[in-house]
Amino acid sequence: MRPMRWLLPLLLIITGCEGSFMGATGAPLSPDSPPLTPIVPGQTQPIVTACTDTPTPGPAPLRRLSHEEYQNALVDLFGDEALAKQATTDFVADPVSLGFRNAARFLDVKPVLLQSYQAAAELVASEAVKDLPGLVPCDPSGGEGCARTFIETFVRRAYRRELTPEEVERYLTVFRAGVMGADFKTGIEWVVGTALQAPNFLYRPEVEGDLTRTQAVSPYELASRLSFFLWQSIPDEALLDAARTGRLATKEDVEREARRMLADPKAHRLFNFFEQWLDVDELVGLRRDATVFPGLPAALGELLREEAREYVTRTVLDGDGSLETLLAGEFSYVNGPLAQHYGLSGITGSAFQRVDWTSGKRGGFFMTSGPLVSHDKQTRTSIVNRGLRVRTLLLCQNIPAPPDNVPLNLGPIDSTASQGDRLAAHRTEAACAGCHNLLDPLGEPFENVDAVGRERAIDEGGHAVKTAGEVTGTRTLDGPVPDGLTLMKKLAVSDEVRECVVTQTFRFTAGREEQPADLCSRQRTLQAFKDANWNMKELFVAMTQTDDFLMKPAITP
Amino acid sequence: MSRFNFSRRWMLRAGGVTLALPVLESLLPREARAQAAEAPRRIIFVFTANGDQISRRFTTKGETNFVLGEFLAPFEPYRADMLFVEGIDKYHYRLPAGERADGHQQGGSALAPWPSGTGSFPIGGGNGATIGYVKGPSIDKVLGERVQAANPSVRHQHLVYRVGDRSNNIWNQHGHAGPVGTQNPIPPETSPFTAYTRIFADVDPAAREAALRRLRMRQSALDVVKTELSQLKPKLSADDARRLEQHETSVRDLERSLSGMVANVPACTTLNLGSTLDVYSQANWDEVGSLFFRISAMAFACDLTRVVNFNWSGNTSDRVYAELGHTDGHHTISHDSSDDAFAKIRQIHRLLAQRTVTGLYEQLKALPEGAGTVYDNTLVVHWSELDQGDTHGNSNNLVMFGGGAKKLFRTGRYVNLGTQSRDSFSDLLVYCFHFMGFTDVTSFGDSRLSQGGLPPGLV
Repeated sequence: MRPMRWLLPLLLIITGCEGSFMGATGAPLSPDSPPLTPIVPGQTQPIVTACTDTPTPGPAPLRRLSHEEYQNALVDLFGDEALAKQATTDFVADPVSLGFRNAARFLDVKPVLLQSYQAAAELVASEAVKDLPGLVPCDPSGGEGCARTFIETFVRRAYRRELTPEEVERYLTVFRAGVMGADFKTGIEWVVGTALQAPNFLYRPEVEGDLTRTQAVSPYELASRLSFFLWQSIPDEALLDAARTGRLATKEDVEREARRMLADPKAHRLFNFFEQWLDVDELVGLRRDATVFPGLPAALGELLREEAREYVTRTVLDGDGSLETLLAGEFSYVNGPLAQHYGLSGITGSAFQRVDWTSGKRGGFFMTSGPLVSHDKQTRTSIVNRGLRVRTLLLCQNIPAPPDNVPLNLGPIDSTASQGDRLAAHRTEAACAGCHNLLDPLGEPFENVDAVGRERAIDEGGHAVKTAGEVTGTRTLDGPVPDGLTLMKKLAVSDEVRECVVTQTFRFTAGREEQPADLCSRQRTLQAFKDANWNMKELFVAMTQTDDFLMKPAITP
Repeated sequence: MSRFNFSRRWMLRAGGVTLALPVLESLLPREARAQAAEAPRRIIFVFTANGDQISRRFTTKGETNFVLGEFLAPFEPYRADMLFVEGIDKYHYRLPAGERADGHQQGGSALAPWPSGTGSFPIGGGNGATIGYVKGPSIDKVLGERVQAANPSVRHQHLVYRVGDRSNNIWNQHGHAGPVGTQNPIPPETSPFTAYTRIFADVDPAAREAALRRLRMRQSALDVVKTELSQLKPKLSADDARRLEQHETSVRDLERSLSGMVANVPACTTLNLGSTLDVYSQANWDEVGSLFFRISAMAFACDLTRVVNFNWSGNTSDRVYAELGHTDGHHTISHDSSDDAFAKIRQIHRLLAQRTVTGLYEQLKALPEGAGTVYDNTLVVHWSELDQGDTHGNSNNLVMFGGGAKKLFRTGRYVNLGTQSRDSFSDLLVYCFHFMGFTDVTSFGDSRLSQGGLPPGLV
């Protein structure tokens, strides 16, 4: 039976506040349970190992295209962004894992998605054949011969490799069935509609070679690994050509292509990684209480997402690429409506341009508004949620589960006090201190940015903002910080955050959680990242140079 | 205009005319043509988030003279058909750290009473590790499989609907595909418009010719899909092959649905859903829920499915009920133990109860079936992830059975299992199998969550 309920605070969020004071059996505590033990966050292991010359790639699970990849592939196949967006707009979102929506083990094709793929394929196919001369690289009067040419070019692009004669014949059968009772155009429509539902398009099979042993990824498979990582889409002709002609066979080949691809505008799609990492993707549809925040610009969430996109694109992909700039640059990018929202003068129009933060308390990607406000409340900031993101997303630490049925007797807390002071009062209670000591002091330094991203000196309750916080529970970073910018500068040059960035990038690239088998790959990535003076673009290149990227393990059926 | 949009708009215009279904006689399964004497049993799970207020569920707790508290009061007109069960324990704390998420997560997975895996979320794991999704199927999935195995004409094993939330995470997915030992959440459908088009497509006679043309094209494409899946599968690891088997199963389901519409009652018609709206806007949650209920009820009437997993939100929902004058979100409020906060919690639950009565109960009752209505043959199961939000408690849960509950349970009653040893949520779910005709089932889920037998005094 449940214990009696006790008074509880206003501010427990998501994790509850009581952390790890389970009884030995895990049973719910009674009100007179023994004193609590200090709570410690789950530490990620340092990326340190003794690498050998024997390649040890981690698991390479079959990847289904993420919805972003599917949409980008449509864009690259047909050149019609609006159509690609329309075709995928109703796809049910894939399950999030470790913050990302591309975790291989959760990406399958359940009935709802199968029908979505079917509808998307039929829509795109019917639209694509409206401009038949633009789609088919030969004269339709050539009939089946022309259809064969189309299959050998279009389906090859979609499959990212040469087709087998059997596959060409299979698609010719589809073409003939479409032509029957109709015309050439219908046959092509059926071919396109089929290819966009085909497993060889929807998945990235890596089934070349002797699957019973660890081996190099085949050139075409490598082309797909590169393009789905750096472009979030299918390879271009140049990459497929490199694979076909033996110019994607060495580490140097891969590095050359990776650098070429990072210089291509399609690399801007890597924003997908950054926004999923720091939850900027969750800004869409952001709502705030109109009484507390009157007169907000329309679609503020989308504006803040664009700000984050500009920041990442211009610092990492088009800028100096340094992690320090990414996390602690004292500037951002705004357009007219956003400048007005922020109270900055002199900027008009829809184009984003650079502005410098001048308060000395704000800077970096995490403090562009998006990552901060994406988990704020309708009426206020959420110190706890902000601190939680620093802990889990930037430090890669885990927060333990609070037990069920926990009685908490906190006593009355002054409801007119500031959020920070109320949290501080809670932390004098042992029951709350465990988790909240880990979260609140990492969220408080951002209190100078309100729940809609504006800098402020006075909070929602009329209290003077205090930004002092503290880092705890880390290997090397513990200590007080006066404000968010100082915290970011500290994090940006810390080994723990650098390792976390490698870990997050690895998870996104590999579509899975890190494993012991890939520790050496991650260590070499980290070393290369260091050698490149913590340059993010070099990190992406380094990621392609590892055993984990270049090799695949034996398949265990 | 795209074909996809065209077909949707076209269908909406055609809807609402109460046309008899254009059943292609030759495509009708034998069972449907035989007009089975007994109407099929259906079940719908209705989820509301963040627990309630235990002390205010009832003002009097007598078995038959119980009095519903203010937030359950909307069910008063239906009390004779309902069974109110409290004192139900989910027993998650028996799972060791590392196999158990926090109360919201694990409690929200109670339709899938299995231990949690690891590797997906940095919050709520044991021993500083990550936590994951539950490792086994939810009851709606298992029921749907059984229904379809026994009745191949039923197109869809189950439907999983959620109001609001674009993203899918450990807090807001309550359907799981399994098999046991595997994390496999089922992303719910969030757009009633897409959901409707998906399962009611090709119903209208005027769409038939186009549908038949698409039928050939679709079958041709699916033939290629099947060939490639079968060629790829042997070359993959067991886990990857399992995912391709899911793909194959989905193809089979789709082929089944291509084989024609089944109508078992005259009440089966198309629906007019009205204009599309932003399904993620908090201003539209009520309408979206209502549409999903209408689709569910009509899908039952048309025997498109017999199992629905409906969710007013994910668990931990922080929706702001502005229509109630609230400025804080539901979850935020639920962590506050003040009288004022609990008054708001009661308001939310009352509102959701009202919406469920008008959106679901009345819809089901409006669909004639045999001598009664679809309501009489549909078990409604109300549940939440917690017993009460401010403690993350899970030992005194309330589950309410409604609709056709009297076909199994002794209804019109209040039962408190709190003094019983057999008070497990997962054991209680066994009754859902029995209602659906699967009386061979004696347990469901991980044995550690079971009390070794069905809760007494209910049937």
